[in-house]
Amino acid sequence: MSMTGSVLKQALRPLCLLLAVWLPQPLLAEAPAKSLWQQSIQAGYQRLADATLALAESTDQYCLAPDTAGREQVEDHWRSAFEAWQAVRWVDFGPVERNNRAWQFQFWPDPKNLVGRKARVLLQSAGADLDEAVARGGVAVQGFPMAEYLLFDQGFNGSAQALPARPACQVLRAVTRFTASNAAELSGDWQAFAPHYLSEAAYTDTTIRAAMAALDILVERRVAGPMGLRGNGKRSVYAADAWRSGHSLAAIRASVAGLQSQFLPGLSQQLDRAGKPALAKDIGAGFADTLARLETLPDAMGPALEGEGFAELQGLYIDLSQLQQAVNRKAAAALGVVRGFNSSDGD
Amino acid sequence: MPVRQDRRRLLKAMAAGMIGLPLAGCSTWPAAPGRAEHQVIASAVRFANGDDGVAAFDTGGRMLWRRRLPARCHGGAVSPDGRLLVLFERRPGWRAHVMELATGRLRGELPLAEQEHFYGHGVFSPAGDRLYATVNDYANGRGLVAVYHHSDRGWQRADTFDLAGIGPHQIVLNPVDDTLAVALGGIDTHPDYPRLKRNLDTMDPALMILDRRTGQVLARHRPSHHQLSCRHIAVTPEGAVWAGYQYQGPAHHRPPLIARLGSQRFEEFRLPVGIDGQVDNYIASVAACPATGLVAMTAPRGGVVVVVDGRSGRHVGTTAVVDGSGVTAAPGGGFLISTGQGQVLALQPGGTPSKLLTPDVRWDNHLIA
Repeated sequence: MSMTGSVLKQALRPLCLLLAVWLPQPLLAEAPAKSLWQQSIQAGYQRLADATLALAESTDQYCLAPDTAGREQVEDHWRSAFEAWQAVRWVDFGPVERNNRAWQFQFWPDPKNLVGRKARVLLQSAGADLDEAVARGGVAVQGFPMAEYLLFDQGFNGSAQALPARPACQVLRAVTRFTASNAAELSGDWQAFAPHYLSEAAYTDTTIRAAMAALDILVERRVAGPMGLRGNGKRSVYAADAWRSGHSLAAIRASVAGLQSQFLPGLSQQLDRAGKPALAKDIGAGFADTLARLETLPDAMGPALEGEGFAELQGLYIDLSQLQQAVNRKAAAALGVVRGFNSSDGD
Repeated sequence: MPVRQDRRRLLKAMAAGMIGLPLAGCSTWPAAPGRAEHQVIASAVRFANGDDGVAAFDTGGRMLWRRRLPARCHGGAVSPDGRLLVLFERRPGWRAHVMELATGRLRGELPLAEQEHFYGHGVFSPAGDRLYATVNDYANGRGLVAVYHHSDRGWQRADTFDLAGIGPHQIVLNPVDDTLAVALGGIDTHPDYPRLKRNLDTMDPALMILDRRTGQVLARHRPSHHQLSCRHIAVTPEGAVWAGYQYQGPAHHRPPLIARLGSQRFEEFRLPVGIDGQVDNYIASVAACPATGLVAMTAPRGGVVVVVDGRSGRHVGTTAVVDGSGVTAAPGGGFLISTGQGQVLALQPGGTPSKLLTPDVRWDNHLIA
């Protein structure tokens, strides 16, 4: 046997050498970081699937036997599921790209209040097949913002149509079911996508670019926009996400925590391998500092935009901007990740 | 026979596959035979401070002028006499600037009807008195070709062609049969949510051929998959239309991304295995070189430029170009390629690809010549 084994080894040797030469070196070197990312994204999608299922189930229970405790549980589950989405929202490649899935989870920004307008239309469709209406109704009716409208919109809650009125319950049940099934499919699709993700060398840069884009969106659109630091210069909570539920800052906290737990470990490994352990440490400290500040902030952004808490928001903006610079400039340069003008935003 | 020789030399240079681009040094591009002056080429740009605008250079490698504009622009057209440049704002485009190509001086804008926006491309008629632009009637989700006529009162809307389809993008004139070719991307978008693609399941893209006088649809050639968005096109001197697709399906699929319509036959071509992955399912611009018969397609997401033989469709070579997107035929043969990093590169027949100029701008998507 040993002889056969030795002969086989001899025979395979040229093939192994050939493979070693043929396999691009970066692929061999990058595999561990990608493996970390693949697993942490999988865990993030699974959490989203679990949390959206819990939301759909508690909605069913509440609508069958409405009471205050049931309502609170649905609202809690909405917040948990929305945070699970915020944590993994940075992933902008792979199965989440299919059929506008990211938009299906969160239609945002919504400057024309399409969610509010579509909600009114859906609420008048009582008796229709609402699962079908949600599936065909487009991204503005399919995800967290529509459920948020039904649960938290002040004007709507003061109306006769508010939950647990039957039409509102029917719509909320259809929307939360759709979101749960979407999340379960996404988690399964990511599992199926994993071999491709791990074997294609280009996904290392794609993953880093996804985190860079998420940091840009955090700084520019989710923080600077509502603070009035961009555009017309006016402070407006309506430019933030989740303003109806007063959960804008909690959502930012969940996104930063998601990047820290899902993206940072792989990035640090890449930086260590590139001989930049000090930069990896700095970025790790930047995430920790930003999260520490976020822990001291309330969940809602609205009051801070109007009052004394604005200085705290400015501090958050500075923390996040520094983190953005460290990842998008220093780490990207150290790892040779180029984010092109035409390659990232063509038409 | 110089053309053939040039072509052979370029084929030879590219045959080895990936040709590296040495970025040191600066070459100048020779004027085309029989042409005293260098050709002027314009492009939308983003300046170093983040402002949007337009800039022009000549094929001698000189920056000629630059101008800030209120919004990011995309593609455009140069009039047949070479005097006017029409530059369209990027989708959803609210303005089309008419300017002097030599100086960048603004001469006016093309009017739009209520609830319409430009898609970013247009083309002049052979006499230069008409201009055809792709437009979205977004209230009704109708893809249109807006026809403009030039008179003493400037550019006026003269006609509207309904394409019975969604998302027309690039439009070119076929000089051989005097028709318009329209790349119908098939993607339904709305200016309130401009990057949201609303109909990925039901897209119906096509390469369309139109009678440019009546707007009658003469042909509608559909790609082999409904999510192959037909976006950018170029015409060869023989009248073949080359199209580049942007695939909207899963990233790991490898569908054909290029197609040719010639002599009534519409064919798609697959790139060789390995090269197809480098293109990353996204073609940004297409150009045909009259001197060599070659066709170049830029793929900025993959960071490559692919060159195929315009007659056989055979893959001739692939060149690594970081963030390269704009491409146009160079007057002496070969191609000029612009990048988001500021370079204009010359992929020169028989020579080494070289840098023509690198001003402090990001070249945006298309070269207009």
